[in-house]
Amino acid sequence: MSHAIRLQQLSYRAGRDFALRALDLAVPSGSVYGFLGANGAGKTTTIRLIMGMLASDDGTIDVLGHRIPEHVVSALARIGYVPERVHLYPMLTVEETLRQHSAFYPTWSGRDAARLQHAFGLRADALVGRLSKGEAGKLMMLLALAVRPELLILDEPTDGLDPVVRRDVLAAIIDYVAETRATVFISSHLVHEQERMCDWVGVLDAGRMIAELPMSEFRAGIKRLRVRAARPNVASLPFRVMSRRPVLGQEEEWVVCDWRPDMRAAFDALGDDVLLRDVEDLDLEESFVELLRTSRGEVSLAAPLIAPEAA
Amino acid sequence: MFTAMLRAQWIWSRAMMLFFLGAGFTIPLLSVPLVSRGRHTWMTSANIVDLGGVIGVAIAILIAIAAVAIEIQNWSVDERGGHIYTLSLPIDRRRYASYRLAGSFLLITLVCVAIAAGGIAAGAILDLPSTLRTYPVALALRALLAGWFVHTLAFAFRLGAWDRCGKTLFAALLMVAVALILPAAWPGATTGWLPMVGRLLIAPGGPLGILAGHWSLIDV
Repeated sequence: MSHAIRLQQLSYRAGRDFALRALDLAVPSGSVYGFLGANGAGKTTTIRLIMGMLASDDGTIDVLGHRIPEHVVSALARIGYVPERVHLYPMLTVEETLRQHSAFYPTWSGRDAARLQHAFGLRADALVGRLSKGEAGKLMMLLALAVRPELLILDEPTDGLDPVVRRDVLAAIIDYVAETRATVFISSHLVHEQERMCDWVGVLDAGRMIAELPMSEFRAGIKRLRVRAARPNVASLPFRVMSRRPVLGQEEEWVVCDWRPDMRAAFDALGDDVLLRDVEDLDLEESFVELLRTSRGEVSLAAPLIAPEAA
Repeated sequence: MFTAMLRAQWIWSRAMMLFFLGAGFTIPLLSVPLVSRGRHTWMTSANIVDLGGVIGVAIAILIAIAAVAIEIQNWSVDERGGHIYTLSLPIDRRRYASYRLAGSFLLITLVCVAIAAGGIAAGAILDLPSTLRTYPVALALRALLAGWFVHTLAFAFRLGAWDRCGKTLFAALLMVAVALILPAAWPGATTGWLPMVGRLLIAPGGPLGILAGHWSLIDV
């Protein structure tokens, strides 16, 4: 499998409080990769390292086959980038911005730019500095898409946008990917949005990658089990129990990962005291939250069962 | 790319540039009413020459302000966006910086063209001996070199890391402090080297030589 982005053992320190530590990340070519993480997890820093805006302390970065930062210019020519905040020149109009941007990209498509400008309802003579947040977001997306990139790097592209604008922006991305099979690397903490679009997911927490897998596996593997239990030994189970919560009577809710349907049989081995009542799917947001809680040690996997009356 | 960058630079600098172009053209012309009036009243040839010197100094100040203002305006636009847009463009950073510098040089050149035009117009209007009219173009050329120099200095400061700039400024301030404090604290202290350093800096051929010396629109 070829990779559009590959980070190996990437380390970067920013001040005393934040560091990316030995980060490994691989974005398969042609995938839509959701880069999840709480605020401050290091998503934007990772993106800036990928874009060659920051210099890493250690490790390697390869983007579209180009080593970064040595060949960053060649890589950037093939990347469409939407940063988390408006970064454009406020004194230029939309039309002037398009003209300015197009000069740097030999692959710029004036036809696509005109089509998206019309679709997004952006006035050519509007000053960038006077655009609303939604309009500015649309303009940045237009600029990223009109360069016909092989890789789209989107840093919180819909953060703070209203639902209508968000839908427009996401629709533009989906249309582009459907047409070109470009790779999309989309960072966000808006998990529901990622769930609809992404086929790969990577989760970053406090500068560490805590999960990276295909979305289908991520969703299929993390389940909520409703179990009637009396102090079972979770270590002997073939799946990983990420959290346990007492609910009613002797019943507990377990959030587990690495789950497969045939693992129901594992409960038979635990005897009559443990009964699997139900298996529920978790949406991506719930899975994400559980993953973060486990990663941060907020949930002790070895914790003894606390009976509801004792809790 | 350079054309696109220059166009953008012109767009965000044009209001300021119109002011500097207007001032550059007008300052030499100020000599016209003053000299015309002076010829009928109290002004002697020496006074006219002195007036030319004052105009020259005004031009020196104008070009220095223009050079710094263009530099500040040039990069503050990028700084406002945290340089993110610039850094995301597929262009080598050194090339980008040199294009920006070249663009600024062009804008400074425009101001100097206005100064030359104003000086030539003033020389044409005034009924002066030909020996008093030789300086407008030379003054504009000198303003051009001084403008480029000041801009490059400011550009180098901005482009350099802040800690390096800080150290340089600190060293300069320290020298000034030493020059002020040392003689007061120790009356016998030798500080004669400080004025000498200053003279070396501004002497013709020195690093700041272009800014010092005689700026004159009308001279003999």
